[in-house]
Amino acid sequence: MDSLKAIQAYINKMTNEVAGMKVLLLDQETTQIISVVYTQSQLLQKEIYLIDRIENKREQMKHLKCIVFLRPTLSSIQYLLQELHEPCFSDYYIYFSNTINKSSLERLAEGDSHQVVREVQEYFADFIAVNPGLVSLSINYPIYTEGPSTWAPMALARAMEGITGMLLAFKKKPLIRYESNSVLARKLANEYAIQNDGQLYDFRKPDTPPILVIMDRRNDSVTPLLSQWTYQSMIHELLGITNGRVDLSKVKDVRPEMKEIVLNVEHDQFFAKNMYLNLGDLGENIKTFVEEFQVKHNSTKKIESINDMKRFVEDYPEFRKLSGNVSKHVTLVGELSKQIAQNKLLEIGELEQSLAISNNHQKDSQLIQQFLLDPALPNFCKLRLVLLYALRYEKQPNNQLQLFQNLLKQNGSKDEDIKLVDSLLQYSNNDFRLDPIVSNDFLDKTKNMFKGLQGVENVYTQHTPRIVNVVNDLIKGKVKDNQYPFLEGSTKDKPQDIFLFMIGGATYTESMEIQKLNSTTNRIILGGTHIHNSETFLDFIKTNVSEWKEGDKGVEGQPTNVGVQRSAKVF
Amino acid sequence: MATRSRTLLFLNFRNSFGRTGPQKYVDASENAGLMSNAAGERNALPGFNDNAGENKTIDDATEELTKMFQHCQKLIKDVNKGNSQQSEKISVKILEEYFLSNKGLRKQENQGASSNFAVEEDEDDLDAMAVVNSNEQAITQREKEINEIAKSIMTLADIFKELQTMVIDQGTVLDRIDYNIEQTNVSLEAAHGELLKVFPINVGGCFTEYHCSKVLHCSANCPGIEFVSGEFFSFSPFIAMFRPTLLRRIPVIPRFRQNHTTAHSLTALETRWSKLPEAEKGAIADSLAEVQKGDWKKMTLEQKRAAYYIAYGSFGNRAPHDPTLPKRVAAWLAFFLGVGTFLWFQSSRLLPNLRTQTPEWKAATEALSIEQKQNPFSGPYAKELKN
Repeated sequence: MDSLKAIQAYINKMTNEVAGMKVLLLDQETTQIISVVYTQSQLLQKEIYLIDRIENKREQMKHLKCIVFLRPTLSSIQYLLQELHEPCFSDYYIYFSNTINKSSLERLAEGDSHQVVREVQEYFADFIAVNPGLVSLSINYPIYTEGPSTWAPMALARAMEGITGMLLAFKKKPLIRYESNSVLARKLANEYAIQNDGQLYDFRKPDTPPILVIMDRRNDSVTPLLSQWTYQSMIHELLGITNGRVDLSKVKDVRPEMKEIVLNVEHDQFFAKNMYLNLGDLGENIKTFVEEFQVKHNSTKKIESINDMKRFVEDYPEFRKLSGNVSKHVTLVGELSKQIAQNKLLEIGELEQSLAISNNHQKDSQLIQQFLLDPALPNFCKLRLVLLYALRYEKQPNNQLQLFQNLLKQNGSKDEDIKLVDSLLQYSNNDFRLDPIVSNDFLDKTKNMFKGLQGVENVYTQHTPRIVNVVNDLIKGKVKDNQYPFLEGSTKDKPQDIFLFMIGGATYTESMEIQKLNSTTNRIILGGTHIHNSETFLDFIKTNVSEWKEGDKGVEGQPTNVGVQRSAKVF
Repeated sequence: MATRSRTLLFLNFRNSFGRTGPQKYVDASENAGLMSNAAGERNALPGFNDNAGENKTIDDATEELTKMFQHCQKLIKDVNKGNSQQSEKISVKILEEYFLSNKGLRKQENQGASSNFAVEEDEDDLDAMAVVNSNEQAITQREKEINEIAKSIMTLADIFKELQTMVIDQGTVLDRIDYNIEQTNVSLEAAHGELLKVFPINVGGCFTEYHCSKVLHCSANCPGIEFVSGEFFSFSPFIAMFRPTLLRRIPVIPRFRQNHTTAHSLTALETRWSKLPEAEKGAIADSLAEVQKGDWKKMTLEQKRAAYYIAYGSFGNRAPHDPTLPKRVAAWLAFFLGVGTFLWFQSSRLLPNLRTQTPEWKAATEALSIEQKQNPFSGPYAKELKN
């Protein structure tokens, strides 16, 4: 199961079905979906000579056919109606990225007065394929309204459609489990069950049913707050990746062609090989990469005979690509290591790991105090430390949270940032979480002790995201039914195909861990409403949690008490 | 990879709106276009795998072009040659004069010597001249060849340079679909800005060539088009195909701007509403409906006002009655009545000598009605019956 390939297959199919010269019209979201997996030159090869947004005005070009690929949202359909009212192209082949309801279809049929529509199809390419095993919906509006137990209707519809797309793209009809303490997870599961009556899911039944687990970020807020050390997550944490593009325009002395770069698993072999490696291995690999390039560079330098010329002309495109790639990664790694050194991220990282995995209140709080008083550190790093401390030692009787908050204030942190400490505790407090950050279980404790005796492999990557334990339990069939109830039906089988959906956003680290668990017997796809780094995660908390009411804890009572609520449909 | 076709349902719906099935007619231009562009398309595709053997048409076209270029080059050479020939002639003349004067001098010097000797000396001079001439020819020949070689090396260098620009930067941001779409928008905005500058200068007039070229330059700035235009000569039909569209797009740009959902202005919507185009009304209403799904407290006052106006505002059926309407109706009624009565009273004067109004005609009508026994109750026949 490869999400990139799935979307590509859909796009291949729609571009191959229409012969001749074509135009492709997209809306805002399908542009993102298509851009991540396809390039302009690949579309040119499919004889698509013009790519435009549906909302733009165009001039008539009756000699061209038109492929329209849209999400079935109100505004997209409105624009499509406008287009059909005054068609610019000879034929229209319309592809929706999700189910389109009958009333919208009827409106379109009514609007098609020139009879230019040849085809209306539903192709379920309705998610952004970030990595082969990672899928995002890139929701840029709040997902909560009022309190932790109410979905924003738009976000609920988008999440439901995202899940539908994910499952239909891989032709799976899963059993649904959700985290018992999250109201949002249960509501999403219900909504999905209501909207998908099974008509579309007429697939051959596998031996063991696939499982869809709907999870809530509120059960694990630690993972997105930690410093990251693998290549992809490090880039996202320090520079930010949006749909595979990294904006380097703020980096000092960057060459003009490196102002914005693209990280694509398919076209960038080096990135594909190294995206899951940590900083140390990455440094070695990039060294050999540069050396290899130098050898090639020297061989292209001397052109003495006609044969040399011929070879040069043949090799040139490859060479050019390689040279661009080398300078791209050298720039990236250079910038990353500069930031790490500047912000003392290694020392901070060590403390963060200690906060996340061990039980050492005295030492940790001393260290935090030291860092808080260091004027060289940026405020954001300090804030993150305090937030981790708050999550970890919320229930510690003599915790020093108040002191730390005061220290933050003295160092010039903004009030809204300090307020984040309370917001985060409201979002993901100890009472809410399904399991504690550091297990109190006797068995786990001894296990940890043995680990400590053996010596750790890497001090900076000791913490494993909670999702890893959940998936491991799932694979072994050990997940507790009271923590992860089934929506309907149940099975004791060990599942082969697992879909995870994280309400509140997944992270690249989780994607990396999931990739490790992927094997021939277990195929796992992780989806999320966002892809977070610590900054976007805190923004998410800011925009969502600030509106929450005091009384509503968002903790799920008995699932049986709450009737199935059908929330407002978007269309 | 599940898919579902909705075409049949769509066609059902479409047919239910009183239209027959799709009329699929063959577009002649489409076929013609396919024929002529088939070769060009292939060449338009980036990459080095193009099989030259397949594209004979392109080869022919390129050959023709090359020949034309060569012809041009020859013409230029001829012009140069003409110049050099002239200078050669002059130099030969000078040489001859030199020899002549030389001879004259020598003659003067050797006055009194035998005429035989003088003739011999003359022949010697002529021999030397021939040798110099042939040497000169060889040198120019050699020079020409060297120049030729230098020129071909230069072209080779050019080819290499072009090669560099031709390589599409796969994997860089230039090859991203979303980036190119964004850039097109940015370039169009820039073009729009240029146009706004131009409009006050030539109001109502045609654009000058300068401004058009400026706009074209802006549009061509978007990398998608740029890297397309960096292709071979045979790609020019495609540029021609899109360029005019870019140019023709110009008058539409203000509309293009309005159609962004975010760009809808809600200020004083009440006054503008009835004049807005239907499409924009729909878009505004949709965007407001979308906003109202969220927290209403977050809506701005302007949004609330607009939403209220769209829902309950006084337009369409709810538009208030016009107080002057009864008066206007009465006035028009009086006017038409007046005109009517005036015409009625003037009819005898306006329509003189109607043949049906003569006493003879009336008498004949009466006689006919009595004869045909018409209207036995009140007509002339009734009188006849009483009698």
